[in-house]
Amino acid sequence: MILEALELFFLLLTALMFAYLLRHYVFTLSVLRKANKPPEPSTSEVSEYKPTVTILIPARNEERVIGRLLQRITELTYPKNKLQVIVINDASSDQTGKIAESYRQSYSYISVLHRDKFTGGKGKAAAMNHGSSKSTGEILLCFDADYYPQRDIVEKLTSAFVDPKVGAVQGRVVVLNEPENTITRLVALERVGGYRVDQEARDSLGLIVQFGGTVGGFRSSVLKSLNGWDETVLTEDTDITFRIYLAGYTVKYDVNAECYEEAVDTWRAYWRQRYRWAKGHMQCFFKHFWGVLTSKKLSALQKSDGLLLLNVYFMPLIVLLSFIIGLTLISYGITLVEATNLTFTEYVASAFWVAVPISCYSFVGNFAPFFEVGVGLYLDGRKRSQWLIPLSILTFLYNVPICLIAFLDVMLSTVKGKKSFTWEKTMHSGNGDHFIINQGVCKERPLWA
Amino acid sequence: MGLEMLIVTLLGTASITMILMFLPAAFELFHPKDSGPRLIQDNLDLITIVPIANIEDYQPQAAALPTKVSGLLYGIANLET
Repeated sequence: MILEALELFFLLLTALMFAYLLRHYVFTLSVLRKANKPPEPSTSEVSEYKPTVTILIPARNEERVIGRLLQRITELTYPKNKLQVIVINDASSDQTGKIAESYRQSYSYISVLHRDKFTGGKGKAAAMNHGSSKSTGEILLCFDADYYPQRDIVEKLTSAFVDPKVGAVQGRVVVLNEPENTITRLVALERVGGYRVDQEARDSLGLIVQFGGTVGGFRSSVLKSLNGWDETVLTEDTDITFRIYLAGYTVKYDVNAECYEEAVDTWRAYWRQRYRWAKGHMQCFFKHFWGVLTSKKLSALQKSDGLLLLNVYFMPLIVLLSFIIGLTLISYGITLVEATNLTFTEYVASAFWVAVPISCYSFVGNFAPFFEVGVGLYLDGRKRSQWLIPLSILTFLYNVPICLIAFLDVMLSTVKGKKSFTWEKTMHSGNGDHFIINQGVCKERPLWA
Repeated sequence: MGLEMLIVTLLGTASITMILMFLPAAFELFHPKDSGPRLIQDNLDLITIVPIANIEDYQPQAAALPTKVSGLLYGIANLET
């Protein structure tokens, strides 16, 4: 009886993995198909659309990178009379506030909000809510302090809002410090899979485009109607994505609106960042699962994609679980064969051997995202980087304990009735500077370097 | 085939597969030839390559004007002598 229940459970887990496998292949093929088509020309309505824009930059102890971003903001091609930039100095103990103030004194459209140690330090969502309360723009864009946007990124991102159904927009994140070490190269592969293939496919298939928390923005009226960011959720970006869709709006993705980020460059920093993402995503799963399932504003395809997206940080656990159950089924089968003296033919025919191909599949099936990364690299014109794809299994395996501990933490907190978590900030070293200077984007050595 | 043989075969196959799978990655890591980063795609929309137009192709009358003017100037110079 227990064995049959295990087999049934095993088949359910495998079906779920198969759904992800299928999804990855559909996404990849859809992007490949789109790549063969000529780009749609922009209409005059889009090129003439110039709404007022507020850029929010939350910054906590970002002295190594904030100057670089602010300098870049002053170089944006968007009309400065339609631009408002708010730096939220979130209780920084370093020179972040001082650097931001120096830009405020030189540029009238830049302002700085200083949050002290009593009001600040409560996470990005709280800082963003404070910043948005002072915003005047029709569109609200967000950039993390370690990012380096294209000069015309505001034009690209705001063009999506011509469509009144669009509540938010997301641009492409590209790793700036990719050559630094193995970790940054692997993170770059993840980003290529996520932003060159996943997000673009979701956009073109009309599924759930995920707002990534940075390099994107909102229609201010929509954000206000949703009462801003939820400060109790660690991944406020995933949370607001689902709230936008559940309110009947959509999120658009622009693959050409590129912004360059400084990726985490140590395994420890990777752990801290992904641990926060995993916990936040799991919070969102419990918060939105039922809403997505029963929503009348979402299509059946959007619902299934949304549920798979919410579940994504449970996947390493599901794979681990399927391995454990598969191995149990195999070892029980061997014991049974030895005890009953079955012949080899009977042994192979044993129902327990079903576990072997399915276990193999659960391993191979997880290579589907790697296929996605390969196609993303191909579309970007990258060649030898594709040789690194098998190493992605390392990051996947590293994510297993991260998600396991995050899951236990979320469960324990739920039992204890704890509603908020400590926001673990990702530290940035400023290592992306010389990659920008080497590319000759700056004509002379910039002030921030 | 005994169980021990089966295990040895499986482990051997797995090891060879692993080596074949990770060898190219090791090459690229230790001798990187495509380590990025992706170039900052800056203002690509604003940069347009304008082909140098050949005026004789689409405005033959305008192209003939310099010849006429130079012929006239040549005649003026001859008046002095």
